[in-house]
Amino acid sequence: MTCTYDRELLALYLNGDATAAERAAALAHLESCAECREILRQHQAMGAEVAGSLGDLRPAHAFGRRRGASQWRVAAIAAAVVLALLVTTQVPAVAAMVGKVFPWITIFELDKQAVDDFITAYSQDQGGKVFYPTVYETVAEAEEAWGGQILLPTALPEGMELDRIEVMHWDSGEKDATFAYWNPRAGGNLIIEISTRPHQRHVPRGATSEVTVNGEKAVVIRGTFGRYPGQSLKWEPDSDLQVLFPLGDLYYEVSTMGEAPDLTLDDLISIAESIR
Amino acid sequence: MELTARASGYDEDRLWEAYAGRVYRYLLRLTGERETAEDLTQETFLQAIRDLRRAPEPPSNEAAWLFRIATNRATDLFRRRRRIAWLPFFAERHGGIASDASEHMAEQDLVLRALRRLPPDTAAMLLLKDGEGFSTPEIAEMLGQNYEAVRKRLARARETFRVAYLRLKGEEA
Repeated sequence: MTCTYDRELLALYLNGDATAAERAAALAHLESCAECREILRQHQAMGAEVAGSLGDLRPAHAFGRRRGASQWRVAAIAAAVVLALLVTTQVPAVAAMVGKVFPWITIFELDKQAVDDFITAYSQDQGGKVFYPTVYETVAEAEEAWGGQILLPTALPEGMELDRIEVMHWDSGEKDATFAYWNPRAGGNLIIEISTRPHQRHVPRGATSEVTVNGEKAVVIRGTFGRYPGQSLKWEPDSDLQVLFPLGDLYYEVSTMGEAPDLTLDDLISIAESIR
Repeated sequence: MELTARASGYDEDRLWEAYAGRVYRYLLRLTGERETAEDLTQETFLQAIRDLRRAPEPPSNEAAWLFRIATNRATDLFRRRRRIAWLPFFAERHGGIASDASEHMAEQDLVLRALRRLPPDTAAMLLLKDGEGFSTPEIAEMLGQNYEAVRKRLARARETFRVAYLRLKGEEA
């Protein structure tokens, strides 16, 4: 690929969202560029595949004929936990250390108390309000919603742009903020999540390691369970790379999300260290 | 009587009949799991009916309102899955979208899998546009964001989708 024409402009044109000037510019370029005509054709073909998939498939169950989803999930978790208990393994020394320094990270030691706590917390979670994050356009708006200044990275890899900001206030008084960055060329995603409390994590042995961020201990989680269902339902060691660290009274997570081929652990640590 | 009168315009069965298939297909494309899509569809309609009973006025754009609820329920689930990483253990027991041996189905499967490599809200945006035919202003309203921001995010999403598709295709070649 050699053409460096603005791909966003092409997509705007295809989406029917281009202004008159953008449309004219895109059309003029398309006339002279076979490569961009091919990109446009790919977009159209992919859109058609999406629209044409699944035919007139309908849900298998009539409304209300299916057990309450939350009940079903809790039952399913209980079943999974029973299975998991059968394969409980000893926690190796290094994992125990991570758990000690970062008590919110559980390294697969499935003792009964942890399992009970988990199910209780999850059930309560399901019974709570539906989660609606509020999306903000600017950091200033997000800070107003958050109720104070939010520290963000001052050093980002070239090409990374802020794409989306969300702030969530929970009934408990806790709050989360998410800053999603993306690289329009490489397609990679960088997510910075900030919370007033640590989020519980369960990760398998071997997936964590310790690093330092500005001289303080931080933990690295390599991989994720398939977050996007259907993509993968196993632990994917090469997927999301996450650096978790406390900063002041807050808990930060700097991570890649899904596809981020160009971001290494060193990049994430540099990004994390520039938050100060 | 008042309740009955209002309910007659928003007959629960009619709402289900009219939209269950569309909402289910949207959620199935988004999640790739039949069981999950079934659950989310039920949750969407449960919440819709709850909202209707509380709402002073019926929604002006019924489809947009339902898909907004469906999108929020799905995004909610994706977040929980990341936070509580056990969930996929049991999800594994349930089937994904059945794959067909034919070449066209394989291509369709590839496109949908590429879509699910995107951040869930990005994938949702593309599905609302391509799969459900909503206009960009409708999607903006649904997501509670301004048109200008959504116009740009949707354009970026389309290019990200294409890059993800090419990469996935390369991986499997």
